Amino acid sequence: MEKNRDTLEHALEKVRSVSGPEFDCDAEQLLAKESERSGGAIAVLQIVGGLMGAIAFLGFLFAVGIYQYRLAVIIIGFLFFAFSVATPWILKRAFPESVVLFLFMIGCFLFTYGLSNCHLNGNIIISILVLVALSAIWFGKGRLIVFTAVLLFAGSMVAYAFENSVEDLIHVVAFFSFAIAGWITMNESKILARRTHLSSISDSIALAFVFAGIGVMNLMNISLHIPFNPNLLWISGLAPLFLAVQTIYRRVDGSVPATIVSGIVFLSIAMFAPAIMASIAIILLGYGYNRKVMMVLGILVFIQFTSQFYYDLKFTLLTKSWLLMGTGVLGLAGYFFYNKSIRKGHG
Amino acid sequence: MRRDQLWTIIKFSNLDELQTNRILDAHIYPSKSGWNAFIRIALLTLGAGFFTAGVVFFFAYNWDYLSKFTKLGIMEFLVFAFAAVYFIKSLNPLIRNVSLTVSAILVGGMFSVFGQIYQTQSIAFDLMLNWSLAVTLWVLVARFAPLTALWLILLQITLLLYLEQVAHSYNELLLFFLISIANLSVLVVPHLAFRLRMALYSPIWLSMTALSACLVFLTLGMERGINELSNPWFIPHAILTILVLVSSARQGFNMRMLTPLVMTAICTIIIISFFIIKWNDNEPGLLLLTAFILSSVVILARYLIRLNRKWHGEE
Repeated sequence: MEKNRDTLEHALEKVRSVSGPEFDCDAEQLLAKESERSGGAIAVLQIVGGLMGAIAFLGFLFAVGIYQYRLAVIIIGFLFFAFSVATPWILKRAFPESVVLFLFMIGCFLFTYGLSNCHLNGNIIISILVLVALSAIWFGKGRLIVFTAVLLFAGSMVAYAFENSVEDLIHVVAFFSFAIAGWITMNESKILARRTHLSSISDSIALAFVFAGIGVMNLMNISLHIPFNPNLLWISGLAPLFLAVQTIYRRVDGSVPATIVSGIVFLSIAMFAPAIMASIAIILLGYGYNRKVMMVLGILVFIQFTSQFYYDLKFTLLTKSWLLMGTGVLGLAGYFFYNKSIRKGHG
Repeated sequence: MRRDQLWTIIKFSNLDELQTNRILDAHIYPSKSGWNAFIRIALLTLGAGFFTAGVVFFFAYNWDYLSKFTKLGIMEFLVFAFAAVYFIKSLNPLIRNVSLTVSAILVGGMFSVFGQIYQTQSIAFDLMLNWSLAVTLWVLVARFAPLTALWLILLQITLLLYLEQVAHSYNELLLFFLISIANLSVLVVPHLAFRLRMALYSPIWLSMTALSACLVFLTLGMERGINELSNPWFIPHAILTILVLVSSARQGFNMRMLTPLVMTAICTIIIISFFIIKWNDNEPGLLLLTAFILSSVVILARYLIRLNRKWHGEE
């Protein structure tokens, strides 16, 4: 605890040096606070553990024949969900996130399974799931339950589009997923300064919406039999385009010409390949706002979407080769010019 | 400064949006020089990657129209030209290494051209084996992590193809064993070099990728072995698995890194779960499995969180 005090004091010094004389804080209470550091690797362990536990327990429930009792399935599902949200509030202390996730996943699965066996209208089930997801986002304590609830929310929206045969609605889902993730990431100071519940879970919401956006983009790429309107593809690329240009403007170069040039380059990518545009926006957001997970995710989907884009092009191999080599030459030329301009700047 | 520290300070202070923004700019977000390095690396990687892919597509299209001599000549010229860049000492080391990596990729193309022209009747396994062998020396000389990663991928594909195309009745467990050893070499060689006072730098991302690949194949092998206990390779595989798990955990403690510890924990839980399912394939077994997974994850996560705080001087 003593060392935590030291590192916090050190951080406090840095804050004082930047924020000016009007800065005031309750130093005693602040330095007595236990660190909230946990690490991304531990989150992976908790997710894997929660998921494996949930699969094993669902296997047990179905092995004992719970599926025969529709009402029991719904009630147990609801109870698990309620426990996952309420337990941390009732106990008023940190509750293992893997257990919360375990309860939430089982609750959602049983609830959905039970309702779908009651021959209810699909839209009613989806609406209930949206309510479940929203209440978990609002009341849920912990990063993992909020993360999963956002994915459930986005998944329910996609399910709504397919249930009502308005497949093109998923462009709107992609648009809003990236827009929300980008807004949260770019307005970190605004969210943190408000000191609300949202401030503590905003990271998880942003990351989950990035995952949701990527999931929707993948759905568009792989679902050859879904009647999407290709003329509406640009809707999905709109939010990433705006996010990428904004990041360049805010974080890299505040000059108007640089923003316009990057805007033109990104617009051409967004028009033809919204998925690639999305991955570029994720990489820029991840690097520009120091979100490492987002950046690694962006690089991985960039490789995937770019390979898929060139593979799916309806051109001959020769045209594809010129396109690829042209892009390569542009990249290398960009590298040399950029290097030169930096050296000139230093000189 | 870390984000969680800033969040704690905000909670107990009067920092407003503008001040928070200034702190984020100064201590959390990347600086101008960071952006410069990022843009340079991004442009160079994209340029080299797209150009190489374009060259491959170009040959694929013009295949039938080129004479045999031209086909081989162009491929050999490209391999030579990109490899030659490596020897221009005045160039930036990053450019030289990226160039050698591109050349290593083109070696595969050159071998396939050779196989097609001379109708060597070779199979994909032969191609991959020769490709991996041909670039081994470059990997050792350049000590460039992306090139090592490429070599590792080639080696694993070679081993998998051996099972599929050459040794049809080959023991699958032995294959998982060999792939694990191949991945392990990337971890062990730099370690031995360090002991022998040789400079061999291996970036952490490469070590972690090799370790995760090694653990995945060891876990897959354990799953096969548990369901086929009479397999003669089960005992060696199990011993190797235990050794790797123990060393990975030890390395995690020594280097004060959570990632190897978490990977070890996940693989151990999965392997024990296979044992539970194998010997209790019934309802109580599933309940026992749930209890085991949840309790172990809760205890381990709690322990690792405390350990992480201790390592970073917070307890």
